[in-house]
Amino acid sequence: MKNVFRAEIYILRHDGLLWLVPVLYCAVGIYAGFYDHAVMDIYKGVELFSLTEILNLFFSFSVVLLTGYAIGGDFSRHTIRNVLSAGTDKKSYYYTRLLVQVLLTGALFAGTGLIHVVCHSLWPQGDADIRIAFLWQKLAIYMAMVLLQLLAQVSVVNAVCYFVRNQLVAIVSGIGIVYLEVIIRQTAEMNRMTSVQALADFLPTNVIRDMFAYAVYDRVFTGRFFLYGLSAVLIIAVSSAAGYVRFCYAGD
Amino acid sequence: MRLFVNELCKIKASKSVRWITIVFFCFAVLAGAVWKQSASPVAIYGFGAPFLWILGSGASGFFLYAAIVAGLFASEFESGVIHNVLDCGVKRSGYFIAKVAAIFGVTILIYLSSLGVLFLFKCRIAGFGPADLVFDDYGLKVLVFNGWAVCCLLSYVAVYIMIACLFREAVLTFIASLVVTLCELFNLFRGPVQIAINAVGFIENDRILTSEFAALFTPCVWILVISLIGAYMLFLVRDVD
Repeated sequence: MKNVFRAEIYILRHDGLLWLVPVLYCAVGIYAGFYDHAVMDIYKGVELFSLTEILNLFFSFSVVLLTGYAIGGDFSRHTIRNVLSAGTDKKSYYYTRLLVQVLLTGALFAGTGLIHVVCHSLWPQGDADIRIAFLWQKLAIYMAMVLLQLLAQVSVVNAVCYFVRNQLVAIVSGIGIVYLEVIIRQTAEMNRMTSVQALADFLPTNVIRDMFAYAVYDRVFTGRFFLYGLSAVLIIAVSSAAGYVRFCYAGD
Repeated sequence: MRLFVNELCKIKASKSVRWITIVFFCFAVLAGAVWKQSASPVAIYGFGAPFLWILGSGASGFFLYAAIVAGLFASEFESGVIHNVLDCGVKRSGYFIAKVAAIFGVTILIYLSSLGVLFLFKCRIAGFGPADLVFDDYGLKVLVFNGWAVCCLLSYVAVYIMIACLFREAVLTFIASLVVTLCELFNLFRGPVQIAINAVGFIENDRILTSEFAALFTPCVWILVISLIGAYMLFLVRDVD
């Protein structure tokens, strides 16, 4: 498992195109860090939560694109076939690959979040006097919840890669899934399909889009907020299991 | 002609084209369900479906046409199909024209069939529409509007073809095409999607058979021509290796 892990990190480090992604994420962090958000005149510190509100679809799209590119590329380049021919266990390969992608996503999001927070802290804006209580604790939980939603999307696209086994199709499917999540909720809202809307509210893309309201109305330490985390964990578990079964038990 | 028939056979056998067509059909049904709640009679009744599909597919599906271009055009550079075909003595210009004609053909086919699905779905759930609301010269207006809508769509596909000739890799083509489409959706420049959105005003005021409406799509014609020329130059001049 250690060897596969090191090999995958090596592949990602030496892929020239992938180095554009951290640069893009840094630019996004700086842009969001200097964004003049209206809430800065209401509560002091709320702007630190605004990263996902300013660029909510960017994170969803970029994560699925990156995952589809990285993991789907292993199928298109036949890397998986070579690794498995060397005697690597399928189970350890599957989970190591997923772990590498999870760490990459986590590192990118953490880096962007840090840049965003540093920019706002060093160049404070807004005229608010009221400060949020337990700001840093709430911010940590809020960012962890957003990351969990992104990891749910990584897990889903990872599973999709093992079904489609083609880099381009994996990327298109990932983008399509994100798009579908938004459209399903919009359709359910407009047609007053309450049960479908209730389910769609827990889809990762919709959760990320709605999260900022929890920060603005100080509802981070509430049951529903933690339910979002639970739904993300469930999605990760189900999609990982589906991808694992497909990869390990479906023949070639 | 033989090249064109070969391209059509490839498209017919392509799983991705089939799946993308199914996705567009699903988008059409979803769009029909969403628009059911609209206040405008054009959006509610079936008679409006031919005028609104370009808007629905523009917002949701232009990048899917990029997937078709990436899969049918750019991936052939990677897999060596183009190398084999050109080695057999086929002229580059002939191959390019056959390729573009096939991609344009499948794009128009997907657009029209999805439009048909939307039309049938809307008629099923809300009916064709009251006679006093349906436009005069309805058939002619449908023809003219969709002629311009297809031009709008093909202009974007031509841009994707130019990107495919530039990058010659399926994934890079798709990502670059997606970025271009999203830049336009986020109003960084005015392109075919914005033009399709502006066309809605002409539909609601029943001004489709006017010169202003035709002038709206002039930039699409220019984009189509310039992109095709650019793609042709890239395909002709650059070495395949």
